[in-house]
Amino acid sequence: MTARLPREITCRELVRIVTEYLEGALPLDERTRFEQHLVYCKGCSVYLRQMRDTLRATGRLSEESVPPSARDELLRAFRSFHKAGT
Amino acid sequence: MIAYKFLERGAIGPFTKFVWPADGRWVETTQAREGSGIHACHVRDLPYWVSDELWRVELSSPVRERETQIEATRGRLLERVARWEPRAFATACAFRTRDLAVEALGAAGEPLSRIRDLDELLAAARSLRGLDPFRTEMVGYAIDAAVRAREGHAGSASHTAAVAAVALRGSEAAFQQEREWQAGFLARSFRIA
Repeated sequence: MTARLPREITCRELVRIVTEYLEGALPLDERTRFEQHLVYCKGCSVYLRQMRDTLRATGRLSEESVPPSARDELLRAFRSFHKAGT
Repeated sequence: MIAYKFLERGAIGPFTKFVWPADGRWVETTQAREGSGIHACHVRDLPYWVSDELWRVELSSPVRERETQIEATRGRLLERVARWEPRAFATACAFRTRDLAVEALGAAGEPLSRIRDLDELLAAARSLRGLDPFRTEMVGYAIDAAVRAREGHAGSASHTAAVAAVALRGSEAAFQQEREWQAGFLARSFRIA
């Protein structure tokens, strides 16, 4: 059961602006509503935690730490995207 | 200025994850941008920000007043409000939501009105049949709030109560009125002023 009040953000909106929130780029009023949503929405709190964990993990990833086989596979995939024009 | 602040278990800021010194040391923000300071609450703001721990805090002037919080550049934790119990607040909000549903149900809500236990409330609410869409919605709020209260999720149970009040009264002002009732409950039950 969900009801929306005009000044509240929805879960869908939260997902859309999560990157701006993490970068500290949201206007203050929107950030406040974002954080109030987290107080009552367990699902979005979990989502934000997972996003933070992912950013932390990818932030640690260096070129040297990628195994050669994975690197070659990624390069092949990127080249095929390029060829396909995507 | 004396105010209040909700933190996660271990005196951790719920959004910044900053670990607050619990020994009364002052914390100062270096950023001057509005919104980047130390946030705290008047009692009336507390229902919007509930979390695991409630602390009495001191803020240095100047303090900026905002719609549901206050902000300063310098603050410190004074003492934890030992009486604060998220589950008790969540339960109170669940029964408050039940009362709103009972009001909508009229005579059909009589069995719900006497219940004092969350599990019994859930069973009774789920057994109601043949309701029109509006009453079904109101019973849905009562069920949601009871489920959240059983999980001890005070933020969700209290929000559901405020949304149910809007649905029943048909006015957005009811949201604020319900939050005011919740603030009063916090002040009385956990002896904060």
